[in-house]
Amino acid sequence: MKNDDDNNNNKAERSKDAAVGIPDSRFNQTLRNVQGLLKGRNIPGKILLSQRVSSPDYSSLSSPTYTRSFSYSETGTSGLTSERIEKQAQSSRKSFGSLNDNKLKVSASNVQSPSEEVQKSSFGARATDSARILKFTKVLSGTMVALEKLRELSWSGVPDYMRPTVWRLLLGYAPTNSDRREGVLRRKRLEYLDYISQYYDIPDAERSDDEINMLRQIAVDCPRTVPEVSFFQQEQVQKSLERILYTWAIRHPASGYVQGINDLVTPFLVVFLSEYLEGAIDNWSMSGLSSDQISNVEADCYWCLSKLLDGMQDHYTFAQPGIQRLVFKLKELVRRIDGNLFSGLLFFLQVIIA
Amino acid sequence: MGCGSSFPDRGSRHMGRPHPEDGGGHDARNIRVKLVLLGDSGVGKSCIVLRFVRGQFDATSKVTVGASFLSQTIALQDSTTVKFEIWDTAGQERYAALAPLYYRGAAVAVIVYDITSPESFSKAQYWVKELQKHGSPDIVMALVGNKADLQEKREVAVQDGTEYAEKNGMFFIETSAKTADNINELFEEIAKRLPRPSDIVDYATSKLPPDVLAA
Repeated sequence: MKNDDDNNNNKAERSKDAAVGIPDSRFNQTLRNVQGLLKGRNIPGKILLSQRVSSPDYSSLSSPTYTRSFSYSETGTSGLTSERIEKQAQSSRKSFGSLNDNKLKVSASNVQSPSEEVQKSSFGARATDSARILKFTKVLSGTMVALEKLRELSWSGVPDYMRPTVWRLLLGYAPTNSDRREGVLRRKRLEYLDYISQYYDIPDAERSDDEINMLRQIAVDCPRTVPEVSFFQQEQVQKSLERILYTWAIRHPASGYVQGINDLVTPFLVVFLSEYLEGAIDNWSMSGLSSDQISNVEADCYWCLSKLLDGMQDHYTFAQPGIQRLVFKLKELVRRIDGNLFSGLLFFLQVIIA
Repeated sequence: MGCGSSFPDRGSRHMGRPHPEDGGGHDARNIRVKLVLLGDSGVGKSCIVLRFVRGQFDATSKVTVGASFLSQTIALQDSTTVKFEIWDTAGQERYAALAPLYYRGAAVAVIVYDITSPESFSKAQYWVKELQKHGSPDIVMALVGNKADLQEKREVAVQDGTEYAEKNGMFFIETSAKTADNINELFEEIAKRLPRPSDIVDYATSKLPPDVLAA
């Protein structure tokens, strides 16, 4: 049967992969990190992200537990200043996308002295720390956003209200050049609207059987997406999900919609809606939003989903070679790091699956 | 109903007794079977499992991605126990390529359709054919028409299910995971149809590679 043939091909492909592809630098990097973890070191984002650094400098890793508690007590004593900084940073939240340099310099110089203090103490601390907010504001307000810097900063969390902007940038959807940003986003959002009228807002008679099936599958899955959060039970939310997923599926025929992709859109939807809706998600409603706002949110979700999936589309193509490759690498990793665990797991799997 | 569900625990007595390729691991009173659920997306496979294992029903349960695993033990009247190790698969076409991974070595296949959806009934027939071709030859197959509580929306007649099942030597039942109707009956009936320990040669320990047995 065809399936079996394909499976066999995949197996062949996989073992070839094993022979050729495994000792790549990324794999070894991960291996080193896990080994470090097993020896009681922590894996900071810095290491995982800086693949270009040939030999990770373990000595520079501070213990997050230590710094964290230190920074907490520090914030405790200088709570007032931190609060002030936070407020200041927040006051720029609505406009930081288009924040001009002057304004930034002013707010930065205002808090110069306390910020240095906090900055030192809260190295590696949480996203809510005011020094981090300042760092983010600084990175985001330049004419060119340094993505490497932003990525590094983001590793330990992005302040909630900056997340939409940061995600758009990190995924390569919004341009790093602030002069171009607004124009590009406007164009991309119009493009999405175009897709909707071209692919979604058409009578079923104009769809192929495959397309009808796909739409049906998506329509079956949207009400079953994050069912435990009541917000996702709202019809408008489910319709938005449906439009985003269907448009993506139509535009990516090699994979089409595959169950599981639905769960990848939901974080985007929540993050981009957070620019319009306030308070707890349980109290959110999309009915107060204009159709422009909704379509902008959907467009951002669509493009970010596309960017995210670009890097792993073979997780969703036939027989999911990407997932098989990852499973194989995980297996290899476990085998190299802990042989006993490996044979134990192998035995366990034999018992369960055989 | 039997005892609670769990991922098969490492320390259990079954560890030393892996079951053979074609299905159940048996000792005199305890039967352990691998069961796979197949069928179209949204027909209620996961809901049937959840009802059987936890006694719960959630109209908006999550989409199954890939497959999920649960187990449940039931006690039969003759005081044997049957432990079902249930592989609940994703219904979408794309995942069909992975299905052999789950039905390989399964002693039982439960093929589910939705009585309100003729498409899901044809999909069920596809699975029956697939298993006849590639499943283990003595697999116990059950055809299940789920959502039997939606009588007013019925589009697949009971007759159709019965006839198709009969023709293919399957056991047929209509269930409702929502109302719990016939769910336990389904699994009890399956348990009764399993080959008894006396019927089979105990080759449970003979078919595995030596390194696994030595581990």
